[in-house]
Order: sequence, then C-alpha cells, then structure tokens
Amino acid sequence: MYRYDEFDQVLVKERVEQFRGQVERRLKGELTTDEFRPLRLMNGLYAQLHAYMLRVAIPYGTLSARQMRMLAHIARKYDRGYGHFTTRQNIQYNWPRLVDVPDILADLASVEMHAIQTSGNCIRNVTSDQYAGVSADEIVDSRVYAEILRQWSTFHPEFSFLPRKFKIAVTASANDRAAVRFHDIGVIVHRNDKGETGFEIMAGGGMGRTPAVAPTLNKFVPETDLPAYCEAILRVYNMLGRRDNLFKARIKILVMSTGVEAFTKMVEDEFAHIKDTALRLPEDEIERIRAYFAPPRYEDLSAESKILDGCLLKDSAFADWNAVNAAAHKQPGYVIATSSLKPTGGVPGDCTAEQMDSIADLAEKYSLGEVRVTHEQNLVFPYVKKDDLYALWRAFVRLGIATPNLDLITDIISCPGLDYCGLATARSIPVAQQLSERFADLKRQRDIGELRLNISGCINACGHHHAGNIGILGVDKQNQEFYQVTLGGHDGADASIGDIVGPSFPADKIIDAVETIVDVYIAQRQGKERFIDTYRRVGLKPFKEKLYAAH
Amino acid sequence: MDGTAKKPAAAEAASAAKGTLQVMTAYRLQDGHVVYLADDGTWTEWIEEARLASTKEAADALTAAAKAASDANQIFETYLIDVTTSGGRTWPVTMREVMRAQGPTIHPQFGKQAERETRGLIVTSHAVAKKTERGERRENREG
Repeated sequence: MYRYDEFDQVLVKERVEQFRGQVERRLKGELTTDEFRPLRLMNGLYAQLHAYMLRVAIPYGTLSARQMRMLAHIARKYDRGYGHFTTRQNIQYNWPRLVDVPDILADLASVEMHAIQTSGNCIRNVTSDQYAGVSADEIVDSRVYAEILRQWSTFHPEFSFLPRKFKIAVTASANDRAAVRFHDIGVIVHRNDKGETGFEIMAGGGMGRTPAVAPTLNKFVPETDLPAYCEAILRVYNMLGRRDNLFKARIKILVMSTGVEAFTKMVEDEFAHIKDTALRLPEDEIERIRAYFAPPRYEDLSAESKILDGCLLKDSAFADWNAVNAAAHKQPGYVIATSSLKPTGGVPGDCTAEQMDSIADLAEKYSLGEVRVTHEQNLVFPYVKKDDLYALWRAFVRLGIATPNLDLITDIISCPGLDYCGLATARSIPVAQQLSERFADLKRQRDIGELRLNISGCINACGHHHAGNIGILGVDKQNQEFYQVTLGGHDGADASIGDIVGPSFPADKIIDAVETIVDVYIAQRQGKERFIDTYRRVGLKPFKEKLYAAH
Repeated sequence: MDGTAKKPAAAEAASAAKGTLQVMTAYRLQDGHVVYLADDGTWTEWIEEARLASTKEAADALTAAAKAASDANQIFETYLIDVTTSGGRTWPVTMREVMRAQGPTIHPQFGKQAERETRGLIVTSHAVAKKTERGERRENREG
C-alpha cells in the first residue's frame, strides 16, 4: 500500500525537531503569541474554542492498521479518548496540550504521519476518491496523481504564502466521490480515444461565504503536464489573488472577477512558458509513484461467493446493510465495505480510541491491513473478500459502526460547530444528532432514498452545506441559534449549489422543517426519483409553500 | 482564534462602560484550555471562580493583570466578557461564552463537561441547553 518515500521521512523528522524547539522557545517567552501562531499553524496546531486542536493529515484518507493504532494511542495518551474524522479525510484531536504536541508529532512520524499542510495559506493535503484503486468504475488509481501533486506541492517555496488556503482534489471516476468541483483545483482523470491518460482541470470552486462550482479551464491536459498546469494556475493566483481582503482572497473570487475565459488565457500563457521545464513529469517518475500504489496480492477468487449469498438470504439485517454500504470492487470475489461513523444519535465522524484499535484489528483480518477515511466522515474497508463480508459486518455491529445508512438521510456530514470551533456561530452536531434520531427508522430512510444532508455551524461551510441536497447553516441571531436551509446542492459529477429556501428556523423548529421538506419530496417525487432529481424538476416553490404556510 | 471569524471580544469590551459585570478570560499557554482570572489572582478553568468587575476601573485592573500574565507567558488571547450573577452564580451572557465556560454540549463522558459534573458545577445537555439559554435570554431582554 501507499507509504511515504525516503525524502518525506527525513523531512518529517526534521520538522518535528524544529517544532519541538519552537514550542520550547514559546514556553520560555522567546517567541511571542504572534510569532508563534504561524509556526504552530504550519504544524496543524490550531487554537480553538476550548483548547488547542491538532489536525493530522491522512493523504487520500489512506491508513494502515499500524497508523490507525497510533491514532488510537494518541487519542488515549494525549487527548480525551476520541478523535474526529473530518470532511477533508483528516483526523482532528480536540484537546491536545501544547507541551505534548512535539511528542505527538514524533509518535506520528514513527508511522509515517504528520500534520503538515493541514493549516495555513499553503496547498493543503490533497484529497481523492475513497474507492481509488479498488472501484469498479474508475479509469486508473487517482491517488497516483494526487501523490504527484502532493510531492510537487509539499513545502513548495513559491506557494508557502498564498493569498489564502488552497485545496486540490482528484478523481478518476465518472461518479465523482471527491467533490472535485468544489475545490480550488479539481482534477478528473480521463482517457482519450488514443488510450492516453490526461486531465480535465477545473479551478475556482469552493464553499464558504461565496460558493462556486469550479469551471473547467482545460478538458485534456496531457499526463506529463499535470504539475506544470497546476503550477501555472497557482502562479496566476499567487500574483493576482487578493491579499487586501480575507473574504475575497480565495481563487474562486479571482476567477469570478476576471471571468473564466480571461483567467484561462492567463493560465495557458503561463503554462506555455513553463511546460517544457523541469516541471514536465518523466514517464519513469510516474511509474515510480505508481509502484507505491501497486495493487495488493489478491487471491484468485470466483466473482460470486456462495457464503455471501447464503448469509444474505438468512440474515435480513445483513442484507439491508449490504444493499447500502457495500460497493462493487474491480477484483472478482472482493467487495468494498463502508463502516458508518453515523450511528443513530451519534456525533458524525467521531471515533473512540477503542473503536480505532478494533478497526485496525479488523483491517488486518479482513482488508489487507488498510482503511480509508471518506470526506463524508465514514471509514472504508477497501479489500474485503466477499466470503468474509458477513463476519466483518458482525464485527461492525459489535463496534457500533454498522448503521446501514450510507448516502441516506442520516449519513449526515457535520462540521464540529460551536461545540468545538472558534469560528462557529451555532452548533451543528446536536442538530445532526437530533435529525439522526428523528429519521432513525431504517425502512423510512430507505424509502426516502439517496439524500445528502449537510450541516455547517458557520458561513465557512466546513460541513459542506452548499453541496447538501438539504443544507443547513447555523447562524447567530441576537444570541440565539437559527438555521438557514438550502435545497438542491449536490457534489457529484453534476454539481450544484443549494438555493436558500427562505427565512431561517429557530433551533427548536429546524428538525420539523427538515421533516416537512422530506414530506414534500415524497409527495412530489415521480417513480424512483432521487431527492435531487425531484428538486431539480419542481424547484423551490412547493417546499417553500409548505415550510412557510403557517406564517 | 485562527481563521476568518470576527473576534467576539470587541463587542463585549465596549460594554464595560455601561456598568455590566465582566470577567477576564484567556487561554492557558501550556494546554490551551479556557481560563478565567480568579479572585486570588490565579487562572481558573471555572467561570464560577472568576473575579467580577462592575466598574471601568475594575475592568482596567483585570486587563492589566491579564497583560502581566500574558507577558509572563502563562496565558494568551485575553479579553473581557459580560456575565450575569442571577441565581447567585457567575455565568456568561453570549452563547459562545456559555460554550467556552461549560465545554461542548456533546460527549458528556469525555471533556470539560465531565469534569464540571464531577465538581457539581453546571452541565447542560443539548436538550436542556436550549431551555436554559431561552431562560437566560428572557432575563437579558428584561434586564
């Protein structure tokens, strides 16, 4: 599986020792608060509402069992026994002590992990499709290109002080699972008629206070030019992106203000200058990186599993889970299994140290020692033999991670909100918990069908509310929590931004409001139409009428 | 605080002049935990133990003490917050500061909220919290 290369190992170890020195100097007063802030942020250490928060990078969400055990160890030894998997496939610890952070980083480095590129105005940890390398619907393993971009961007001297943070996502599937169009740069891997690999490159997407679906700049950038094309985009942005106004500093604002055509021309001009320089990717370098993602040694299995088929027949609860949480694998006899970190009434994305340890054991036993974090805050077991799926599911049930709700209404994406976050204006987790309880009935959830419900506790939109079929945004109105609702957001290949339905709802009315929305959908839908399809057909009107009927 | 939100301190600092009760809050450098300047000059995690300031002079004294502690690398990000003492307990006025004082309203078994319970201090679950907050709001409106 993926591992760090030798350069990274040296780099990360050096960084830990640097930070240890910086912490010592801060504690002695040799560094002021203001001097120390950028240094800690460069190492993923934030100051949050209650305490420091450490955000640990998980490239492409891929974790080995050994790394998962280390995450459990850190939660137990240095934190409060749990961690929170984030919408950028990372993990956050909510209670680390500053004095312990150098030791935490050293522990992470011992398993090839770190907290670099998880904060600050740099190119952040690159994200990708959680099914990369195993999905039946992908062209290639997108992580190869995500890794090329990571190596190109890590400590890139020209881009360490950008106008604002910069996020890149890569997918190689027509079923975009990485929300690439909501990123500063989105990359979709394509194959042309000649069988050559290339990239559709988008720029200027994002959420936050000004949501935008990224327009395509170039439909087919050749494989060897990936870093050069991205560098050209970054150069234009670094030169022209606004530094005078924090709220207008993201690349999306630049693309909006120049217009896509003018922006693309500037990028193409820059690209023409630099494409035949050292930025050109040699074929052997692509091969070298591809080797890091070489497929594991699969067993030669038949596509069908009698054991699985038998279990599906005899255990209806398992069949229900399998219908929703298992996905097609490219290798015969294997399946991709998603464990849910959204139990009824639970905190989306939270995982206890004990659960992490058990998940590591299960990964070793049933998934060739690997787990993936999804941007929806669940955990994927990518290499499960169909013969083993029932045993794995039973273990999930024991661990409380077997909720069969993938992509259903209770598979809620939620940011930490005002319960933890220093930026939040309202709580989001308790709303997610109450919605999860309200819609707990599985039969009802399945009847409602695919429905993405996302909650953010402030305008910065870490909970992806703009991309939720139903999006909820927490706002503070005269010291009371209110929730604004958007409908019609979508983060797939046909991405769209949700429309605001009307005035926001007080905290004690938001759960009923969501139920009303669901009722309107059920009444309006035709055949097996998904929520998003019904919404696109009927628009806001019927929802609005019902929601505000009493007013 | 890191990121793009407005700092809450500015609005609250202005209210000192109106004679509102205030306490000084900050984060402890070593572990980053929320702390309040206590009567005895130490920094406590429990707002119930915070020193109250009801005049501008008293608030200025809190600010001076906070600066000294900040200069001595004990704490960082100091600011005054408004509090009420109705029912004989010191408690913040804004939703955000209630959250800082009591800890997250989730995971009652894990965080600061668990410690509050052990000490017999106020803990509110999310269901109860709504009620309490509404109650406080009513008081505020009346006051």
